[in-house]
Order: sequence, then structure tokens, then C-alpha cells
Amino acid sequence: MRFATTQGEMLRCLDMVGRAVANRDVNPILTGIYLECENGRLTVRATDSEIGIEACTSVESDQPGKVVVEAKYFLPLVRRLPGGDVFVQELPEHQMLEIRAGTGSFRFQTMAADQFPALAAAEPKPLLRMPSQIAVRMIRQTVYAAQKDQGHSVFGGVLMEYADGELRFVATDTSRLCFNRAAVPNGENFKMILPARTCVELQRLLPSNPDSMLEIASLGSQVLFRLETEDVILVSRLLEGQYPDYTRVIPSQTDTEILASCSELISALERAELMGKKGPAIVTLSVEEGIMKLESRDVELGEANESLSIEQKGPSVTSAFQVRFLLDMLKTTDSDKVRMGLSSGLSPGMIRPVDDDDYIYVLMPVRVI
Amino acid sequence: MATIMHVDMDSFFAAVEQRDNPELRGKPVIVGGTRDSKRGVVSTCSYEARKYGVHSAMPIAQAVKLCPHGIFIPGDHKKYAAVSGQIRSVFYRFSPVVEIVSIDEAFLDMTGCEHLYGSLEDLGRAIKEQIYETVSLTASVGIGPNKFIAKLASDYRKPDGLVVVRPEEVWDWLAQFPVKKVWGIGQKTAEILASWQIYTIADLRRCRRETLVERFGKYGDTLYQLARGIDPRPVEPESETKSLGRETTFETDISALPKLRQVLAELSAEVGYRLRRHGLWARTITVKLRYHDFTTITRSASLPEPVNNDDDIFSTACQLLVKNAGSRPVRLLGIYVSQLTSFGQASLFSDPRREELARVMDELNTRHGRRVIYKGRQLPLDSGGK
Repeated sequence: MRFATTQGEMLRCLDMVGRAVANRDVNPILTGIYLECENGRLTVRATDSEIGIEACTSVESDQPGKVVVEAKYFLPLVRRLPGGDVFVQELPEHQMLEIRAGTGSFRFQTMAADQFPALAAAEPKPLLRMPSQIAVRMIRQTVYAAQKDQGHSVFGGVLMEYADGELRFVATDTSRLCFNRAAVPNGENFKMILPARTCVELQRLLPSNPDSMLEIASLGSQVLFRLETEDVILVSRLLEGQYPDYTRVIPSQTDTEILASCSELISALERAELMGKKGPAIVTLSVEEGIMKLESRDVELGEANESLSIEQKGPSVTSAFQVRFLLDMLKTTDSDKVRMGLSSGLSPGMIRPVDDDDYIYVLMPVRVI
Repeated sequence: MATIMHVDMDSFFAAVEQRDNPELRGKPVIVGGTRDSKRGVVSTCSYEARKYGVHSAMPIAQAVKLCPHGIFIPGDHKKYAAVSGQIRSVFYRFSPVVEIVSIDEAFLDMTGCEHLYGSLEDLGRAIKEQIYETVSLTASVGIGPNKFIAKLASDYRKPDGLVVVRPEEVWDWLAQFPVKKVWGIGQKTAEILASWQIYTIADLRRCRRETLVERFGKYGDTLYQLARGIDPRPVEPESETKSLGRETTFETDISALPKLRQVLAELSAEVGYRLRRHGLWARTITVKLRYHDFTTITRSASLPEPVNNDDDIFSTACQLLVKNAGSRPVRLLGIYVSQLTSFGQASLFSDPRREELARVMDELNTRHGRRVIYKGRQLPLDSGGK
């Protein structure tokens, strides 16, 4: 294998796949990065067997071939190389990969490339094609509600389903639920649960470029995302299990409807959040006569009280929530006003952007004695 | 008879400042605000400043008048707290039962450990020495049969004092003090007593219990006892609940999982009941197992949100049990909950009737003072499941 490219282009590809490299050496080959050169095309690949990422770019090449080098050292080297041309050459007799840039020359031991797994075990079955921007928004507005560190439970994932020309993302940790939808024409119906990490990595790869297109394809027990414009694919395993019936927990109506300024609410809640020395900060929202009172206290610290003027439809109501749960949603809202639905007792509350019915947030109150 | 030690640091904040800045030594140092602070009050002053009549809680402006050449320092509470922490660690070398009264004073219950240091005087000297070695500051120590006497004793020969009052000396020693030294007597009570011509504790002893109760209510009774050197208040260590649990040792070792599961259900119900009674929820569930050979293990699981329902506690504990029991005979089984919070996050998917059920069951069991209603899984297996 022999090719020439630039340091910038090489680093761009490596950075994209770098996050898929396995941390622990369960299978030592997976701590490596796979490089393959064929017909003037360089493919860079990494996988930890949960997710795999592959990025491609055009290079000048006169010898095809493939190698695997240890990611932990190879990636930092490329990052530290001077900008400009980079020449990469396999030295099969030494089982080495040589990289030359500027006056420097570096050699890395290689691993057996034919042992590096392919990303897709089956032929991909295309399901849906959509603008990347829509996926970026939908992930941003759901993934935070998935349970952290609950790798194998369905609550540690994001439900992605497509039916009747509508793509839906749902995430819940059982305390709150995010629902997000977008109209996307011409797709095959499907339903799958993505690990939250897959969504985060996909979000990181997706460009904000409005022309960029994303293709979703099924690989049976895996899913494949293809970033067409960027020539990148991400393959991920899916979570197994039954996703709970989320339609059941979205309230059809609440006792009281409130219209509030999103930025004012965020500022007030960020102050209330400081009353969380002993445990997560809790805020009690009391709505009465167009005023929302926010009260929070911490037994070891003190208390915070403030009032916001809001528009109120319906009776007075009081409910307590974890401050973080409210902030999580409000900070992902693009509107400057939100509609908040509250009910008394232990009924769920609901938050939506003012002019957008595609983003719904349902959250359960806390019981405070 | 109890032995209580009261340790009081001598003009603590001022002493720390003098320790760290040799130029301040031997000078009147007043901590609480700068000379021109309008609203500040004296929080501590050195003994040199006290000679001018300056005392704590006095407005700074007044202190400036009394002691114009005094050195006024706003004070560094972070530093004092750090020093206080070092002193605290000395206390725990002497006794596990320590009641921290404030940043510069504490009670230690030394009952039963009196003679580890020789005499009571030796004990007092030992703690004073260790405090001095640790933070280079002097403390005044009082030792007596209760908190009231110990505190009075530590105050008796300040600074750097050590006063031991033995039970048999209490009666005579106490007689001399003005009534204002009695715990709970402030300006107002002292004035009432003065109007009865009662100025000292000896005078106070002439009052009949009924007279005191009639005038001061319940506190009158306390007053009657304190005048006689009787004070039943215990030394109370910091008492925040960090965890709670329940364990049981079997009469004969058990290896059968169904039986262990039934006992675990019982323990879960007791722990859940206590959590709900205290208005607490727990994030971490721990199962403790002692096997027949006395090897003991604890296994914990943390939940995404805190729980206090028997079902949640039991199902988490049961998973831990199944992983660690079933083959070896078990002597002791216990369940503990920790990471306690005072709120419970409601769940979108759980049946709200579950909470209601727990509430009604708790109410019934509380009202009857014993368990009258419980879940089937708690039923002893040998009862035939009926």
C-alpha cells in the first residue's frame, strides 16, 4: 500500500472514526484503525463491535493494500504532523507502516488487516433518505432523556420509528419522555431502538450543511447510516426489547396551560438549580393569577424564591420537578416561548415550543414530604 | 455516672490570626470587621482586647471607642473552618461520641474511658496537649458528670484552663455561681429571679420546684434540677440519617433460595416502611450475606432514580441475592439502603395505585401497631402458602 494525501485530509478521516475505536482490548485488533487503499480511494475504519465508523477520501496511490495500526498512537501522531503533504507506505517485509511528512519519518508496527471485521454483516436494505439537518434536530431534542449508563435496557436507547410518512424519535428514562417527529416522504416503515451513544456519535458526524443527505438502511440486527455528501458510514447494533407504549403517557390535556418566556424560565431555573448541594435541585412551581412562583431549597444551603409573569389558562396549580429535567428540555428549544401544561397532584406535566407540535416533552413531578 | 468533657478554644478566631501573624501577638485583636465597618459586630477578640471591655457580639463601632488602638480584622472563615476540622479530628481520637456545638466548641462523652489516661486531670491535659500539637492553639477544658457542669468548668479558668469537677464536689462548687451562668437563663429570667432576691445558684436552691414550674412552666423543672447540678441531656453526635437497614441471623443456616427470598421480602418490607415513615427515598440497595463459615459479603446496586416502594427494593435486592446465594448455607441476611434523598421522582410507567396501596398498608399496620397486612411473598413457606 502506498499513497499520498495531506495531513488535514488524513486527520479529518481519522477524527471521524476515532471515537469508534475500542477502549479496552477485549479483542486487540479493535484497538486499531484499519486503512485500506484501492483505486485512488482511502478507507479508514474503526469499530468496538457496538458501533463502527468508516470514512473515505480520494488519495493519490500507486499500490493498493490494507493495514491496521494502533489507534492510540497513530492518531496523535497524525494530529501532530505539520500541515501539508503526507506520504504513507506499507513496508511488508518489516510489518511496518511508514509515514513521511516534512523532514520527519515515522514507522508503526502493523496488525493483521485481514482479521479486522467488516462493518456490515449483511447487504444493507435502504429504508429512508432525508436531509441531515432534520436528524440533527431530532437527536438533539431527544437523546438527553435516555437513561445514562443503562447500556442494555431499552430506556438507555432512543426509539426511531417511521410510519405513514412520519419519522419519530422517542427517548425516556421513565421519569420524563421526549417525543419528536418530522414529515419525511417516501420511506419504508420501520421501528428500531438505537443505543443513546449511537445517536450522540451520529450527531457528531452529521454536518449542519443544509444540502447534506442522510440515508438509513437496515442490516437486520444492525442499522446503517450513510452520510452521502461526506462519504461516511456509521453502523450500530440495536437494542433488543420491547419499547413501552409511549402514546399512553403523553397526556391529551392538562388542567392548566401556561405560556412563558423560555429565556426567562431558563435564567430563573439556573438560579434555582444552585439549591442542589445535598441532592438534585427540586423546584416547586406554583401558578396563580398569571404569576409563576419558583421555590427551591436545600437543607444544607438555603433557598431560592422568584416569580415570573406568565399567561395562564385554567385554575391555580402547584407541582414540583427536578430542575435539571426542566432545563434539559428548555435548552433544546428553538422557540423563545414555551407552552407548559401542568396538573395538580402526581399527574405529568408537559412542555412544548409555542408554535411547534412536533416536539413534546412529558415529565413526572417529584413527591416532596 | 457519666463523664463529660467540654472543650472550648480560647478566643478562637483571634488566636488563629495571632498564630499566623506574629506581629499581632500580645496586641488587642478584634475579629468581625474593619475599623470603619458600620454594621459589623465583634465575633471574637483576643484577651488583650477583653481588658478594654471589648466582648463578642458588641458592635464594632463601640469596640473602636473602647479600644482605639485595637487591630480590627474582618476574618477568614474558610481558614477557621479548616482549623476547626483539624481540631475535630483530635476529638475523635478521644471519643466516638462527640457533639460539635460550634466551630470552636464541643462536648465529648468520655463515660467508661475515664481511666485510659490515668486521672481525669491527665485526660484533660492529654487533649489540651494534642490540640496544641496539632494546631498550636490553646483550649480550655472542663470535665464533669454532665454537660452543664462540664461547660461551666471549661469557662471557669479561661484561657488555657483545665477544671475537673467530680460528682461529689458539684454541690458546693456550683453554689457560688450567679444564676446567669445556668443554661437557659438569659437577661429576662435573671431579672425575674433578681426580683425574688435570687442572685446565685445557692439562692436558686431555696426555690420550691412548684414555684419555679408555676412561673417558668416546663423549664422551671429543668431549672430546679440544674441548680442541683443535675442535667440529663445526652451528648448528641451529628445524627443525619445516611443509611438504614435491617438484618437477621438464622437459627439454622439456610441455603434454599425460596426461603432466603421470603426472608428478603420481609426485610424489604421493613426497610421500605421505615423509609416511607421518614419521608425518604433511596438510590442504593445493598444486600449483606454472611455464609456458614462467617465470610461476609455486601453487594450493592444503584438505581437511576431513588425508590421507597417495597416492590422496587425487593426486586433490586433479589437480583443481588440470586447472584450470591443458593449454593452456600447462609447464616445472616441483611438489606441496607443508602444515598437517601428527601424526594421521590414519580415514574411515567408505574401504576399510581402502587403508591396508594403502600400508603394504605402502612396506615393499617401503623394503626394496629403490628403487621396486619402484607404481601404474599412475605408469607412463610412452611405455612403452606395459605
